[in-house]
Amino acid sequence: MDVLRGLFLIFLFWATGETISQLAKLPIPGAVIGMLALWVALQLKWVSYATIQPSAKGFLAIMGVFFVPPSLGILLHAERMLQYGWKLALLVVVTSALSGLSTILVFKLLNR
Amino acid sequence: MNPFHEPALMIGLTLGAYLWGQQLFLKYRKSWLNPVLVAIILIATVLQVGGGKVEDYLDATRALVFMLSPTVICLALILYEQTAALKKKALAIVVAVCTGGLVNVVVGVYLSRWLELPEPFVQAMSTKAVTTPIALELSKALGGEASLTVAFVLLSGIMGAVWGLPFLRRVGVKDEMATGLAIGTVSHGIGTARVQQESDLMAAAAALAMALNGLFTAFYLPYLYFWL
Repeated sequence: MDVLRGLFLIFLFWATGETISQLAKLPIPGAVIGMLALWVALQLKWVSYATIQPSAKGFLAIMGVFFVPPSLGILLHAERMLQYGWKLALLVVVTSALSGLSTILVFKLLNR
Repeated sequence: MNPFHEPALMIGLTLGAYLWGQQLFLKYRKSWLNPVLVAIILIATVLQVGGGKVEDYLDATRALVFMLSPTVICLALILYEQTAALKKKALAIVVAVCTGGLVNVVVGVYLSRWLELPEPFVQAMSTKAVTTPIALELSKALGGEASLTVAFVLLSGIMGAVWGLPFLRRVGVKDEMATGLAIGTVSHGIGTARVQQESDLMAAAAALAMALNGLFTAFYLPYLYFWL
């Protein structure tokens, strides 16, 4: 019963987010809007945590699986990407490291 | 029958490969034994050996990818559990994530131009840190190549999920919230999936960072890109 109710709520918030995203022509995907909307709804106690918990934890536990097929899509570009192999590797590593470190640095500075 | 176009077989293969990767990770606790990475390598090998087409595999596993959106909705639960901790540092979180996202875009664009990469690659670099659906929207706005954009997003996500934590530990970052924010800013959903195994606070910080960086980038990138 609770699993069904939870699933219903999850899809309801997805649908709401999708509707807002498309009506307002936002570049933000419906799922992200739905996530923020559900967070607010949980805060305001419009949705009860206990109802949504069993279904939500199920999805979250296997979240990584859903990224596997799209990641294999990289193979479609493998040849083109390997042409710039070391440059791309360097770029992704350097920009990711700098971005992550600047996030942490700013967070630490503002928290002192 | 083309086995690489059968949803039951390909989804089964994906689940099995991921499960195996997860067990390897739990047993050896090595960062590079990331289940997403293990599954990709295993499936790519199967496709290669069996002569399967990537396009067929992607078509057969569409149902699995469909589940990504409801999972993003579920991240609200982790955010809710950690609301008190996140609220206390709200301003620092927002400023830190936006700075990190901006650094990624600006450094990425300038560095890739300096290395003389073709324009589609430069565009893909600018959107690589945001979650896939936002990157796709932005790619449209910038006139980029959709599937190359997705490839960069996932590459960045996998690298961050695999080497992000060991790198941050190596440089001496111990704060869980800061670590989660950095991972979420750089490697969005894949990073968030990875840090769920570390702690709830880290996962909540990563989920929030993913959402904030996505929202922020979506608003400024279409204008900023043409200035860079």
